[in-house]
Amino acid sequence: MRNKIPPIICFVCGIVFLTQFFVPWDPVENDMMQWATNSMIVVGVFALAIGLASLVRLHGTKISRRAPGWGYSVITLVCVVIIAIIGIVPAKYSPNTPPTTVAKTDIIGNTNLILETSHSLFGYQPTTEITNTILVAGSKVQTGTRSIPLFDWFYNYMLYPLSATTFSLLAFYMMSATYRAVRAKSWEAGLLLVAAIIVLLGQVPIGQIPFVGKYISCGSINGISTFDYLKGLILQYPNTAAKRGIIIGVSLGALATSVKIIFGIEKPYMGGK
Amino acid sequence: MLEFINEYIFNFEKLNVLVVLFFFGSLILYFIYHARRGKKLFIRRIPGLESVDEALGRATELGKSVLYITGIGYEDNVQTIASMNILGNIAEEVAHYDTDLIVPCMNPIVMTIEQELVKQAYTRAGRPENYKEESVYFLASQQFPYAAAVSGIMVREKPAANFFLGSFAAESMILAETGARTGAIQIAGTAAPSQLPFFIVTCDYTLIGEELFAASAYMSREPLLVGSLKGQDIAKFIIIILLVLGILLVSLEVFLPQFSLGSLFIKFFNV
Repeated sequence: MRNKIPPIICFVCGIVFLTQFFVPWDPVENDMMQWATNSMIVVGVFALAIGLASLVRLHGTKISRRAPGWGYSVITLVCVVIIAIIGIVPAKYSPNTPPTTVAKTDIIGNTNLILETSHSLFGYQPTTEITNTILVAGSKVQTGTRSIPLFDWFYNYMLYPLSATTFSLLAFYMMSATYRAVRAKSWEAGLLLVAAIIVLLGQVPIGQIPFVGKYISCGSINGISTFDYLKGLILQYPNTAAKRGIIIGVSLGALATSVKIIFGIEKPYMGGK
Repeated sequence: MLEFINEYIFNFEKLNVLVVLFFFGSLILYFIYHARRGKKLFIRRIPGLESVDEALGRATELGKSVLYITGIGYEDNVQTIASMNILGNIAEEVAHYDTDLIVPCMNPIVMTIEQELVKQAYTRAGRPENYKEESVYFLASQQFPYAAAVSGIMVREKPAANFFLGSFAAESMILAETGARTGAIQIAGTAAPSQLPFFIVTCDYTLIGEELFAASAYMSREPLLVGSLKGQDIAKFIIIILLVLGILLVSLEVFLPQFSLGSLFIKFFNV
């Protein structure tokens, strides 16, 4: 019985949501989809607890065994605790240090409303205060203050820049990978190299190429600079054709995988076979 | 009556989708049925999958671990599902070789499914006692923290074989390039055309597009799964015929405008 119920649920859900795509009736087309999305969020919340347990167990074991790099595990767990506490604490209980400097003053449109953004900690106050002030007879009158929750501060000023830093490393990784890719070891690699050079030159507004102390004019085709035109040809025809070929293959693969899952031929949700 | 059906029961604008879905779905089911009756089916060689044994063998010889990444997709992503199917086969082989397997996950639900998959694979291999629950674990729920953490694992643990199979975005290059620098043999596969060039230049073997979905059938050689693969190949052949036919009809319409079959053909496939 334990092995029979999950495939039945999978089959019924698969057929129901396949049908849902074709039915235009609002409760089926939108409400049902919304319900399914909400259900997934609810399941996701419970799963987060499982993920947290896994994280704590993994790093806890590393710390208790003094495994190499256990110090990083301590940092990870401390950060988990801090961010969890900050996330749970309501915004109104966040520290509300008085602003020491006014970092930004914006006059809103043609009105007499002034928006002041103040920070104090390392240039940014944990609870950035946005103050609405009205100019009355030349003097400022404060009308309201809104505090940004500490959790947002951590997200905006710590996690987001760290993620952006990791993302920006991509440029350097790309350069080293490009170097490896453009070594013309076979005629296919040579073709890739030629195409890459044309596309690269097409990306910049280049009209002349410096060559042995002289400048060679690149000319133009149909009023567009030659490399820009050639880049367009490469991207529009062979590149699009290859991409579409891949997309057609992927769609068929996805269809076959869905058929196998719906009909219970493959059951990854039950440990595979 | 038709208006009522169109408004509440069936959207006729999606009729072409239903026809194509039904046709190709039936084709795949037909070949699965054929395979079930014991008919031997030929499938073409996929070099990326032939090299899986080589990668696992190398990891065993060197006494190093095998890293498996299912990407950043959630459990409802078909690429993640395809990757999970491959993980089952690889975990079974890893269990046979008695090599360490590392599966860091970005999503707790995916992690739970993968834990069960790997556990079952060890049981199938007859080595349930060798399964370690900490080999499949949750790492980070965001894209770049996850990429940074996996890169750290690659640099510290130096796995001999890295598998990047599933749904990937910008982190693909960070992961694959870090792996290439550690000297690991790398096999990647994704259905995202924008990430494929990154994997091709940094990995030893890349499964392009539908090869990712074919992998589990190819590796397990189970007749039912191979049947679906055959159905996929026949469907692709039919699509090629339709493309050629479409090109001919549209070209014919350019020279002979009175034949409007080309426009009708395009209209049918418009979604």
